[in-house]
Order: sequence, then structure tokens, then C-alpha cells
Amino acid sequence: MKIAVPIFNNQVSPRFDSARELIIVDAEDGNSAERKRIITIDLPCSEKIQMLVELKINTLLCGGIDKMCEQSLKHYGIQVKSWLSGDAETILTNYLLNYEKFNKTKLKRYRMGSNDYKTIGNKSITSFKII
Amino acid sequence: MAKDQNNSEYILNAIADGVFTVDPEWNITFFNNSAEIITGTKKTEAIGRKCFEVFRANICQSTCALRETIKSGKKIIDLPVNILNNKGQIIPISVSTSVLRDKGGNIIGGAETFRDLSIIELLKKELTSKYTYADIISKNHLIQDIIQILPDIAKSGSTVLIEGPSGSGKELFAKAIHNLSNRKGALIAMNCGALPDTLLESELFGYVKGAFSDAKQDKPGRFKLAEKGTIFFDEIGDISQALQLKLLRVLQEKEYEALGSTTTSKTDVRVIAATNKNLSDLVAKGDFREDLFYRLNVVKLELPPLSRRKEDIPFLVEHFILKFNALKGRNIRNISGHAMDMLMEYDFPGNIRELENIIEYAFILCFEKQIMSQHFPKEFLNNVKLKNTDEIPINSIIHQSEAKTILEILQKYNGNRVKTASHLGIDKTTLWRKMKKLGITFP
Ligand SMILES: Nc1ncnc2c1ncn2[C@@H]1O[C@H](COP(=O)(O)OP(=O)(O)OP(=O)(O)O)[C@@H](O)[C@H]1O
Ligand SMILES: [Mg+2]
Repeated sequence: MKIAVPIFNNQVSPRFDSARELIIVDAEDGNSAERKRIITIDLPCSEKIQMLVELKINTLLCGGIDKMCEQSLKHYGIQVKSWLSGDAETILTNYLLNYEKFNKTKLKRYRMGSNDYKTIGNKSITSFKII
Repeated sequence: MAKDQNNSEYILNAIADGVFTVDPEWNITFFNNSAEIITGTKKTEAIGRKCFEVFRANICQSTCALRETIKSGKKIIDLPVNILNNKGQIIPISVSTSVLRDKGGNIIGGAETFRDLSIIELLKKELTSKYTYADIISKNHLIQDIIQILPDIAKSGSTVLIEGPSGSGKELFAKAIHNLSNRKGALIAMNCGALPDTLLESELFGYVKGAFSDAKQDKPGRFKLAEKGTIFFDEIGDISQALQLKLLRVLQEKEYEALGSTTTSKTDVRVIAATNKNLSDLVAKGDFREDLFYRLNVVKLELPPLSRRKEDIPFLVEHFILKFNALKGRNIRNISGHAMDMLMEYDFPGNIRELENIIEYAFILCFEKQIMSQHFPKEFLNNVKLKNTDEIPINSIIHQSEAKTILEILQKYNGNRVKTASHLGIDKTTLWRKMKKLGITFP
């Protein structure tokens, strides 16, 4: 599960298509995952999307994004969580911690058997609402 | 001092250009009414936030105009850029910047004014027909599904068959596919239904001097004109069997001969064909060659009629109002609720073109800010009314025969109401009411 965040001065970039830098993280490694930075200066939107596809990104956490870019990303199966703003690292950490929690509950759910499935499952999903 | 500031705020709020100011840390300190409209962000949300988070111009993250101005002290005037509004739409604007100083001449921030260029861009587009998928207005999932894959289809270079009823946007999609395809040549359209066979053939393939008596010089065909570009066959279902065979050869062999020519021309042309008929039906009836059908039907787009995507009507209306405002230099704001209800009620046999024509017609009659039902064409109003109240035709038949009977009996009794009423088995006042309702006057 790979995540990308376009950034600007360490903030989530206000606009995906003109972002000049991306952070890329593998969520399976939890919050300690290495943050890779990729420079995307002057890449037109379509090539940026192509790059995300090639990098096998599953989720894009971003700020402003135009409808066409968003549609295109969804077309390639990339989940888009848009119109976020603020410190990129905070948002990323939040997301990763929640992702971890969510996965752990999933595991627990499995061990506890199907009867408990609903309650625990639902709870974890509500707490998964990070944005 | 405070009064001064109020006055200038008042003026800045009244002007059509967007205006905002920032402090040296790029926090927005002022945001006028037009800025709210153009960016879609409320003043109360904008003030105190970083300008790049609210304004979202394509240059914010690289060559911010305001930063340049504050650094150099030089104004920038009418720089064309674009912003992303809060609905996720990209809006073309032009920006101008200047520094803000206090009384002592120290820089205390910057001011930016900007103008919405959407209408001008729309006009330019009308003139150059540079349509892309961003110009296809639709919330309908069938159309959205097509829009999503349109860039891929465009780049693939495959032959595309577009099926849809008249006025449903076939040509618009053909243009969008061509413009997204990056093919260097032109898009050449050919309406196959409009010309007789022989003319169509010479139009398509061209002719050489002397090919027939009127051929005084060589004339290139549309295939030649579309070289390295796209050829768009409109109403492909209308072409003759003979021409179908010729077209099949071009699609298969990528070559053809001009009329009267002995040399074969190679062609590199992308083919898009459109029809308002169902081509597979024509194939089943033997009116259209099956092999040509398969050649054309590599990628098929089916455009639904407007009556099956009524959710698009409000958006299309908004789009056409904007378009005709730009084309006709008008400033119509919107459409009345009642007028919109009527449009939603209607079935649009002529689809989007018919809707466009209705709005264009309304522009002739409407001199207010709002289009109202009385601005619509008469035929449209009649058709909607009929549909609106299904019972009327049946009722009116009953009314008519009732009126006819009453009249006959009145005649028989020389207009004597009492005798007429008793003949009909009703009392005098009922007869009187019925006559009034049916509009019967009898001397
Ligand atoms: N989805 C849409 N959004 C905006 N405008 C549209 C849309 N679809 C069609 N139009 C407009 O409606 C008009 C008719 O469209 P078009 O000429 O593409 O239809 P068509 O299917 O080729 O019609 P015909 O079968 O009569 O040739 C054009 O002015 C076009 O720009
Ligand atoms: Mg057409």
C-alpha cells in the first residue's frame, strides 16, 4: 500500500498539477516508513499521473485537484483524498497511524470470529476517519 | 483614517476585478467580493490564510508574481495564468500586482488584482473549435464513463464509431478525440448524408485534371486534407454500397486513387465515424456491409439521448447561457424555476442541439437578467403543455362532442334553453353552466 503526497514548503501542496515535489511512503512499514522525495518540477499533469501509476501508488493525499486529474487518477485505480491542507508530515503520520490501527483491528477481527466482526469492524471504520 | 479605509473597501468591493492583499508572511489581509466569486472562497474563510492556499494559481509554487513584485518593487500587469477554484475547475485569469507601503514608504505587503478570462477563452474556443473533454458538460454516469477513457481512446489511434441520436453531441466527441490525440494534421469532417454518391466520391478522394469535363485542375480530396490528422464521417449509415466498398479498401489497405488518376496514394488518417442509425441493424437488413462495419466498430461510443440524462439539463442550460452571453455580449444571469421545470418536463427529440436552440431563441426575447418561460419558442411551449397534462386531449374530445350535441339540440329547439335542458335530462342551470364552460354562445 503506497501513498503519495504532493508538497510545497513541507505543506500539502495547494494544487496537485503544479506541485514540484512529492513524498512517497509505503504504508505497510507503518509510521516509521522511509519518506522518499521525488522532484516533479515541470512535469505536466498527465505525466505526473503516469508516474504515480508506474510507481504503483494506491492512495494520493493531496490539496486542491482539478476534476479531470481526479477522474483520471480514479480511472487508474488510485484512491484520491483531496482538498487537505496543512503540514504534510502531520497529515501523513495521522494517515499511517490510522492505517496501522485499521489493519490491526482487521487482524483481531479475524481471530475473534465472525460474531464480533460487525461491532469491532464498524468501530474501527469510524475511527479510521482521519480527514 | 478608519473612515478612509472603509471608503476604499467599499470601492474595492464594487469593482468587477478580484482584489486581495497580503502581509509580508503571505497571509491574506483583504479579499473583495469579486475575489469571492472568482475563487469560490468566502471572505471569512480567506482572510488570515496563506494566499497560495486560497488562490491556487499555477504559478504559486514556482514563480509567484506577488513575490517577484515585492522583491523588485516593479508592478506586473495582466499576466495570463490560471487558478483552481473550490469546485475543482481551472479558471483562466490575468493578474496584476503591486507593493503596499505604509506612510513612511516601507513595504507592508502586496496587492493583487485579477480578472476572470473564462468568457474570453470560451469565445476563442468557439472560433478555433479547440474543444477538449473539459468542454463536454455531463454528470451522467454513461457519459462520465466515456470521458474517463477518452484520452486513452484518443491516443490509441483506433477507428471510432460514435452512435447517438441527432444533436446528442457526436461531432463534439469527435472533435474532443481529435484534439486529445496529438495528431498533427487537421480534423476534416464529411457529412455523408448531404451529398449524392458521385460528388461524395470526388470530395473524399479528390480528382485529377481532366477526370471529367468540369475538372479543369487537380483537386485534393478530404483524405488528402486530413493527412496525419483525422477524418470524421458524419451519417456514415447513409453511404451507398459502392462507396462502402471503396471506403473498406481505404481502411484495409490505407491507400486509394483520386478520380481519373492512375497512381495510388498512401494515407495516414485516423477515422471517426458517426451515425444516428443503429449500424448493426443496417447490417442485419443488408444495407450496410458487415466487413466495413467491423472495420469501423473498433471502439464504439454510444451517446444516450438527452431524455435519458435529464440531470444534465441544468448544467447544459448554465453552459449555454454563458456561451451566448459571450457570443452576443449579453449579461443574462439565470433562468426562472418555472422555465427550468418546463425544460425538465420536455423530451427533447432534437437532444442537446434543440436545448441549445431554445436557449438561443430565448436570448432574442429576453431583455431582463432572467430567462422566463414566455421567452421560449411557441412550438416548444405547445409541446410541453400537451405533455404536461396528458388528460387534456381525451378531455377535449369529450368536451367537443358534448358541445356538438348541445349545439345540435339548441338548434332543433330554436335556442329554447328549457326544452334543450329537458331533452338532455339536465336542469336549466346545469345547461347554462355547461354552455359557459364549453364556450357555447347561441343567440
Ligand atoms: N455534453 C455536451 N456539453 C456541451 N455541449 C454539447 C454537449 N453535447 C452536445 N453539445 C452541443 O450541442 C450541439 C449539437 O452537438 P453535435 O453537433 O455534436 O451533435 P450531433 O450528434 O453531431 O448532431 P447531428 O446528428 O444532428 O449531426 C453542439 O453545439 C454541441 O456543442
Ligand atoms: Mg453532427
